[in-house]
Amino acid sequence: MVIIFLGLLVLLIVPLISAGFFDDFVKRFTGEERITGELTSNETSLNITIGNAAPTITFVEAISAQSPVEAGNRTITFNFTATDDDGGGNINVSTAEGRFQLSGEPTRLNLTCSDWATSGNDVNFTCTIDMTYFDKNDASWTINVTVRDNNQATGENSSTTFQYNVLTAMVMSPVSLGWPAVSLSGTNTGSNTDPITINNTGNDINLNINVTGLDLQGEETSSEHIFTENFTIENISEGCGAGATAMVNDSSINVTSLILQRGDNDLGNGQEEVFFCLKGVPQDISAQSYSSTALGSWTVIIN
Amino acid sequence: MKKSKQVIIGGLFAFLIAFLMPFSLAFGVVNSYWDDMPLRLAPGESKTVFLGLQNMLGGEAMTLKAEITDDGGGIATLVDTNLDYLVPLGDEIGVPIRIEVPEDAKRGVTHMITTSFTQISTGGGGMVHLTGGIVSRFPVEIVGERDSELYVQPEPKEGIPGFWFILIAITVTLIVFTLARRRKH
Repeated sequence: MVIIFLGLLVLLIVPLISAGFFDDFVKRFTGEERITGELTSNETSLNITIGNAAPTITFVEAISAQSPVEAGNRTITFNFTATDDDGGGNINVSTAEGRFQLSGEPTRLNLTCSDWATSGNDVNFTCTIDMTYFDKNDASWTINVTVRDNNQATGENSSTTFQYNVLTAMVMSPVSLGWPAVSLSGTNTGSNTDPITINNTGNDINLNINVTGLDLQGEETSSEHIFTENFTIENISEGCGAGATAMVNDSSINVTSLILQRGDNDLGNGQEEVFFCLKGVPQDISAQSYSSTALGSWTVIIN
Repeated sequence: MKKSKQVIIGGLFAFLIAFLMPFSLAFGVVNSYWDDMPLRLAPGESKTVFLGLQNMLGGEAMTLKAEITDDGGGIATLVDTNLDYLVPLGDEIGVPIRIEVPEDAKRGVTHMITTSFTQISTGGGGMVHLTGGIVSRFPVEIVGERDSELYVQPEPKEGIPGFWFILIAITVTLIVFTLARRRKH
């Protein structure tokens, strides 16, 4: 018992830090600084890292299939929830962002999704994003949402998608055609109210343009006509060129020089100009007005 | 005489042109199915698909006449009896199309359904008045029951799953066997 007591006493009294005989020798050859002498006091810097839990996006509201709006925007609103184990207050609500993404397409986004409500570790956000009429139809537009916390850690979720439908749409203007003075001997007379401009106001692509023409009937002598076959259509003025498409009475004729793609109409994309030419008139008709009033309008179809 | 005729024709055309009332025509058709996104149905199944008619840009309500120009071999019909659809300005209305796949339809075959919508002419002016039309088409693919859009995954049956049932049965058998042997000894 006495021996144990003395042993403990020795351990307490004898300084635990001591200089060794070879310390100086080691320093010369290794450059390693060794402690010499008894340490009384020293200054040291201490780095303490407190752990930060990055936020996670635990819920993204499903978006049902959406349809474009003719020449406009489809506004889509959805909610998502961000969770931070350090508390909802650690989420920087001004950093919530939402994006609709599809490979090869411009990303539609909102960089200021608003915070909706905070509850415990959760913050619910609502986000509104506009899709344009010419955004590609696809079954899998990705919904990407991100948020950062006050320590700049980011939470992200891209696990959900939505369908953007196809819209086949057009604006055509004007919708009536006229011609200047036409003589019996006149040939290749272009309309003086064309071109007819057709805008693709949807997101469908590779749209053909077909025109169904009907004979023009004399307004005084109904037995006289200017035949549909007297007209040609083309995408360049006056519509009378070698590449122009000849019309056939009461038949849907594809105008081969015209094809509509999707695009921003304001930038001149997704539109075609159509020129109409009167190649000549039958030589046995009388001087009177001829129009589509009696036999019916011509129909311009995109398909 | 010929010159006189020319003047008269020209004069009349100019007169008509003066009465031209240029305005635009606008409408659209929305479809949930397209070439890369066919409607998938199994033989014997049916579904009503809606095409949406939009009139967002025109200056007034417009009437569109619907017609199925390709019924995909008799599987598609327009549901409504009145096929002239009045579309109010700024609105979108649905046109129902019934798709009924016969029991003996061959799997792997795709039927194209084509519907046209043509504006019913309002008369208009000018020498030639134009109306507009839009053709909307979508494929119907005949598939197996499990690949059908209408297929619903059956709910897993409640109770002891097969694996656990077998494991418990083996364990109980071993215990009973062991106890029986001990009793013998």
